[in-house]
Amino acid sequence: MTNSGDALPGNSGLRVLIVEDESMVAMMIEDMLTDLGHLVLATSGNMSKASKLVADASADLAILDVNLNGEETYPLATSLTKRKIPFIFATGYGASGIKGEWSEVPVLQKPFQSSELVAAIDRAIRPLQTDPTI
Amino acid sequence: MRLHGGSVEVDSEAGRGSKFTVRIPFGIAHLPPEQVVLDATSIGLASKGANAYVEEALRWIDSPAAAPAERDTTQRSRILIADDNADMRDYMVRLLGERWTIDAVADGVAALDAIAARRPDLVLTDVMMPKLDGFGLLKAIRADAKLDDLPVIMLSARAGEEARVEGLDAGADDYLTKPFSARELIAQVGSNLKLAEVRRQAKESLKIANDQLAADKEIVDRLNRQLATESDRLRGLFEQAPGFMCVLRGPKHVFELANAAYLRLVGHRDILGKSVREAFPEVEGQGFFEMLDGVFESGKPVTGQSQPITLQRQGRQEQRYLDYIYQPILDPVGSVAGIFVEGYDVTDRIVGENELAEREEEFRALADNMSQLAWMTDAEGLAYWFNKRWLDYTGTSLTDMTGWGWAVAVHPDHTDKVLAKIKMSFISGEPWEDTFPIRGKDGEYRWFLSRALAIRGADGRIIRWFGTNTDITERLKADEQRVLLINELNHRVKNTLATVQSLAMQTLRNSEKTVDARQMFESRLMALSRAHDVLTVESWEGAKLRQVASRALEPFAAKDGRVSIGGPDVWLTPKQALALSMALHELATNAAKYGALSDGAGTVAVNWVISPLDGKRELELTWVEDGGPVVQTPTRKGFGSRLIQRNLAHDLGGVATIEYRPQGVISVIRTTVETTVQGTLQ
Repeated sequence: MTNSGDALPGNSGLRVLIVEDESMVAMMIEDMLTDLGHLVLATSGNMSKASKLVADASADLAILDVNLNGEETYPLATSLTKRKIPFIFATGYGASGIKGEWSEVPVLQKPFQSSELVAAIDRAIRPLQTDPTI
Repeated sequence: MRLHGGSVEVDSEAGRGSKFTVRIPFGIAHLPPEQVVLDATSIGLASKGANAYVEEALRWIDSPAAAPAERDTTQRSRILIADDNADMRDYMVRLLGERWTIDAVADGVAALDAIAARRPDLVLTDVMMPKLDGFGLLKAIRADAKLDDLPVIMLSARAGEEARVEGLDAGADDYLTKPFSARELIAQVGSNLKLAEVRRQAKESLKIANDQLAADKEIVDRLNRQLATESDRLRGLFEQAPGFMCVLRGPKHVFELANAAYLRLVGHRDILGKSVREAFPEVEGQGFFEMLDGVFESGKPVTGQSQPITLQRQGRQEQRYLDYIYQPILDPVGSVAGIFVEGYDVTDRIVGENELAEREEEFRALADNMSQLAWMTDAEGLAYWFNKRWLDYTGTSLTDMTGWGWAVAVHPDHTDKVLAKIKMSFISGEPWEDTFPIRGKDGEYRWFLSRALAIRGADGRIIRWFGTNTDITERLKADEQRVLLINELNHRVKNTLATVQSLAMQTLRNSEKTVDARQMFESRLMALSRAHDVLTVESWEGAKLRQVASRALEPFAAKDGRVSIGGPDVWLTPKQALALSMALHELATNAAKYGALSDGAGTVAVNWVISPLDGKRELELTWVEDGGPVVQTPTRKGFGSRLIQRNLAHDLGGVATIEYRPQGVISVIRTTVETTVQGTLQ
C-alpha cells in the first residue's frame, strides 16, 4: 500500500493504532484503514497491552474505543495527547458519552461508514498539520 | 264676768296680735246661792214678755265688735238666716254680719230657693214662719242628700227641753231659744260652723282615705294580675325548658311535676303520682334510686355528668347519657320535703364525641402506619403534628419539630430554597410540592418527594395544611439505573450493529458468489443471534462455556454423535462468549465445507481444561477434527481463520492457533478466565 494517487497525501499511509475490544469490529476497522491506504501498526482489546503500545509505538494516529471491557480508555487518551499522537474516539455511546474535557476529540459512533472514518481522521490530524511549530 | 266669778286677760304684742283669755268656772258651787236660778225655764217663761223688748233694746247697746275677733277657718263662711220677723232678721244680720257673710230670707220656701241658688255653710232658721216653717225647711234639707251635712240651727221662742228635743230629733244641729244673747248666738253659730268644718274635713279625710284605699286596691289588683302572669310564665318556662325537670315528693320520690322534656326522655309514660321505683322498673339496679335516697337523707345535692342510663323508650331498651342535678327541696323548718331534678339528655353529644374519638383513633392509626412521613400545620404554616414515622425516621421528638423546628431535618444545601417555596404556598394557598433530602436519625440523607395541601373549612378559609414526604431514594436510584441501562443497551446495540456490519463486510469481501455470500452472512448472523440468546438467559452477565459451545454447534449437531463437547464448568464474560461462539461457528462451518463434517465419517471433539497460570486460571480449548477427508492448507486466509488466529486471540486476551493437519484441523485457544463459577465475575 502506498499513498500514490490519494487526494489527500497527508491522510494516507498513516501508521495507526487500534484499541478495540470487539474483535470483529476491530477487524472491520483494520480493513477500512487498509483500504484507505493506511498501515495498521497494532490492534489491542486489552488495557495493559494497549497502554504499552501507546507508550512505545511510533504511530501517526490512534483509534480508541472508549469502553474497553468496562474500562474507560481516557488514560490512553492522556498518554496520546502527551505524545502528540492525534486520536479518534470510537464508541457505541456516541458523542454524549465522551467526557467534557475530551469534547474536542473527533468521535465516531459505531457503526460508522468508511467516509466518516476519513472525515474523523482528517479532523484529528489537521490541527497538527496546520500548527507552524510542528 | 265678775258676776260668774270669771276673769278676762289680754296679752298683746305689737305686730303679732292680741290674745284674750276668758275664764269662767263651770258649775254653781262657786256662786252665792241667791244668784243661782236653778229653773231657767221658769225664769224664761216668766220674763218672756219683757224679754222681747229687752232684746230689741240690746240690739243697740250690745255691740258684737266688743267680742274678741276669732281667727278661724269659718271666717268666710256663708250663713243663711230665715226669719219672718224683720227686726229679728236684721238684728241677727247685724250681729253675725260682722264675721260672716249673711243671706237673709223671710220664710222656708225662700230659704230653699236661696240654698238652691247658693249653698250656705250654715242655716239659722226660725221655727214659726209662713209658707214653710222651720221644721219643714229642716226636713227638706235633710231629705236632700247633697245637703245632709248642712248644719241647721233652729231658733224658737218655745223654750223648754221638749221643744229642744223636738228640733234636734227633726235633724237640727242645734237649738236656740229666744230670747238669746248676742254672744250666745255668735258662739252657737261659730261652734256649729267649726263643727261643720271639722265634719267636712273629716269627710274629706275619709274621702282621701277611701280614695287611697281604692288606689291601693288597684295596685294590689295589678300586682295580683302580674303575679298570675308571672306564675303562668314560670310554668311555661318550666314546661318548655330545654332541659328535663321534675319535682319528686317524699322519701319514696313521688312524681309531683314533670316538664315536657322529662316526659320526652322517659318515653311519655304516665308518671305523675307514682314513685320513681314504680315508674321506672327498668332503672332498678342502675344506682339512680339509691342516689335519690341519699339526697333525701343527707339533704345534699348530687350531680352527674354524662351518666349512662338504660331506659325503656317506645317499647325498646335504649342507652341514653344524662347530665343532671338532684337538688333537695327544703320545707320551712329545713327538713327535706322532696327533690328537684334537673338535667340534659346529652346522648347526641356523647355519641358524637365517641364517634369523633373513634375517627381520630382511625386517623392516628392510618397516619402512623402509612408508609409516608406525614405532618400538619396550622393555617399560618406552623407545624403542630408529625406522624410516628416522621419522628422515627428523623429520630426527633414532636417538641423539636413543631413550628419551624422541622427545618433542621432538611439537608442544609436545600433549607433556604425549601423554606422559601413552602412559605409561598402557605401565603398563596396553592398546593406545595418539592423534592429534597431529609436527614435520618443515622445521619444519612434520603430523598423525599414532599407535598402539602391546604385543608379548608366550609367557608373556604384554610384551617390547616396536611403534608406528606414520600421516600423516593430507591425510585431515584432506579431512575438512574434505568438511564444507565438505556445507555448501556444503546451501546450494546450499536456495538452489535457494528459487529453485524463487520460480518457483512467480511463476508462480502471474501465471497466470490453472491449466493454464497448471502448464505454465509445469514449463517453468521444466526450464530451471533444464538450467542445473544445464551447471554440474554443470564441477563448479559456472562455464560457457561458448555452452553455457548452447544448453541454455537447446534446447526451442526445433525451429524449425530460426531460432534462431542466436554470440559469443566467455565464462566465466560459476554465478550468471551461472543468471540468463542463466532470462532466455533467458523470452525464448524469450515469443517462442514472442507473438513471432518464434510463427509459421513469424520468427527469433531471440542474439549477444554482449566489450569492455574500466574495466579489466574487458564482455559485451554481444543478443536480436533478426525476421520474426514485429507486436509489441505487453504491457499488464502478466509474470514474464519483470520477471526480465530488474530482477533479471537485478541478478544480473549490469549492465544489461538489453527493447524491444518492432513488427518484433520486442530485449533487450540488459550485464554485466562477469572473463575469457574458464576457470580464472582464482574
